[in-house]
Amino acid sequence: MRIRSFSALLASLIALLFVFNSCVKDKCTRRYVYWEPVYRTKDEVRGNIKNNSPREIQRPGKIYIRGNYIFLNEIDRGIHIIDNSNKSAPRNIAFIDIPGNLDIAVKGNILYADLYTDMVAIDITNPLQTIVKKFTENIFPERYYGNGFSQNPSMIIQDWVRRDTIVQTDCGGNGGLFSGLFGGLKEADVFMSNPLAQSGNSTAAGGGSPFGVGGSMARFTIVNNYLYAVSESALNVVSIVNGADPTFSNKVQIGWGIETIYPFNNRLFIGSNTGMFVYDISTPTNPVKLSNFTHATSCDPVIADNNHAFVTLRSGNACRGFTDQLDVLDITNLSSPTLVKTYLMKNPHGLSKDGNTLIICDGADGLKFYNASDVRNLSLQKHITGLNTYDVITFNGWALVVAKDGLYQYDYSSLNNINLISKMSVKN
Amino acid sequence: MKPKYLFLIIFLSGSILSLAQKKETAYKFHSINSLSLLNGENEVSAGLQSVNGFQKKNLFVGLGVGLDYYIYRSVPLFGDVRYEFGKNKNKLFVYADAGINFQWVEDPNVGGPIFIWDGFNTTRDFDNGIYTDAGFGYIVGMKKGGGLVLSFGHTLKSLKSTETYQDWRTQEWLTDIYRYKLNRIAVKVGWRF
Repeated sequence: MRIRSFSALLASLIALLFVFNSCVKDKCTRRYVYWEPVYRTKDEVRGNIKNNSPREIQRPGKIYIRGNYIFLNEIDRGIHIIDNSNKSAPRNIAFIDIPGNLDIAVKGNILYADLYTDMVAIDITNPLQTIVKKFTENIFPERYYGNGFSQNPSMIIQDWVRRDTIVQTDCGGNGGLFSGLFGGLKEADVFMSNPLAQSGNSTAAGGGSPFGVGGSMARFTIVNNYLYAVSESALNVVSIVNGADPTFSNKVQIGWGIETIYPFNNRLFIGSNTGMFVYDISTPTNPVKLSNFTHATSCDPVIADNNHAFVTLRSGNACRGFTDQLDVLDITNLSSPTLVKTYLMKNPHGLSKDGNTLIICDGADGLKFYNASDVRNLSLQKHITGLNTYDVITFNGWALVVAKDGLYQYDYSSLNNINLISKMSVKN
Repeated sequence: MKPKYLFLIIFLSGSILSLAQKKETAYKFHSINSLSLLNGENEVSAGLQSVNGFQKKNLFVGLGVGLDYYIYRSVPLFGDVRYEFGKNKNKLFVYADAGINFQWVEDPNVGGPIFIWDGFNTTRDFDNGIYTDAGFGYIVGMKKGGGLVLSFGHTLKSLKSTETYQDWRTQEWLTDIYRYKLNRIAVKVGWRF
């Protein structure tokens, strides 16, 4: 065959290559997880806020102790009521269904809980027969939106159902054709675990998702006759002068990435992604900023005593930071807190202080008890490993610890002989 | 063994075997090395192939390896069967290939959804798939069994990738699974010796 003929044949085949191109299709699929909301009417949800059958603890959040009872938040679901009259054998006796619940606070016989955008006041005089006293609406309006998911405003999300699905997806390539995600599902119908799968939407605060941020590291706190609740960017003031009739009082914008709140000596210590804020609440309805202490981007629970604030900073996905440490701040001059010392940690979460004993939940590194009589020289007295700790409440030598796999109770009245009293397992 | 080394070894072995062959035998060794133009729905791309094997009369059976750049770079390793028609030097032939498509993706984030999240722990891994090719061609024979080889056919390669990430709300680890079935028309031009 001559070269000319060969070249003509080659050219013909290349031409055929492009002619027949439309006959071939790439097929690319993606299998992923999404969450489908289960809606109920407001009346149905509100009617179900009462003592229901106990449920297994799955995602423990904020804990509150009142007498012999523990009120334990199940993040985004409600409140477990645990009979702790026998600390060696606590009993999970009831569950109050509160969809969207992230935090709780108690004053006297009234428990306050968030229910997405609203707040509910519940009489817990008899923990075996709790009674709803009032719904205060629209305290947390930002809770409608989260991760690009907008709730149906006339309904409430009671639950989420996890589903796996397979859809066509973009194969890539220079001239790639976008085959479309979701294969029929609209974005707003579901919540994607992979936030970038909800193309184009930026993240927002709060709920409207299967599991909210928050829980243990307090976003609610009560000082005298006022409940202070932080959202992503604001401090809400709710009057509870009449405990059973909470009323919205004021909202103060305080920054971004707000996470925790801790009251001490007529001050509020507010932890955020970027630092700690100190607010004066001498006038309870009008918190006034006194100072702030900035740090690297991190998650930031904070507690305080007369002279010092203790701030844990941790890295991690939701925190978007790279720092894991404990900062001790001198707050004798509240207008200008200063750093005293930094202690490196593994991945610290909640903390508590009882006299000179500082207790830190250091994530997967367990529970740490420090002698804090000299804050410049914290001395580790006891390190309990084997549990992934999240938050701790202490009271007179007794510690109640929320960990990934359960609720632990320790007797630390003698630091040389810390005993595990009991453990309530969490369903994983 | 890394795909690029596999490709090199088979290509060199084929070339050496072919050169060492001096005597006419019932089974004749051939090495067919070609450049391919690949056209699919999402891209026009190129590739290389080396098929080495033995021919008896009009039937050729061999082993091939390639470099395929269509969207995700890969190294197909396949068995090859060809049947030539007629006794002339210049012949039509039909061929069929089947084997494994070894992934050798240059950048795991090329092509598919790009997952970038500050502070997020994500991994994306590719897995091997299958490779098939079938079509017809024409050989322009030269001396000693060599010749120009031209072919036209349909080729399919498949790959799988998994993307593991941590749900920033639930903190649980999830895995998305992507499956790619890439169909192309291929024109190959090469040399047989």
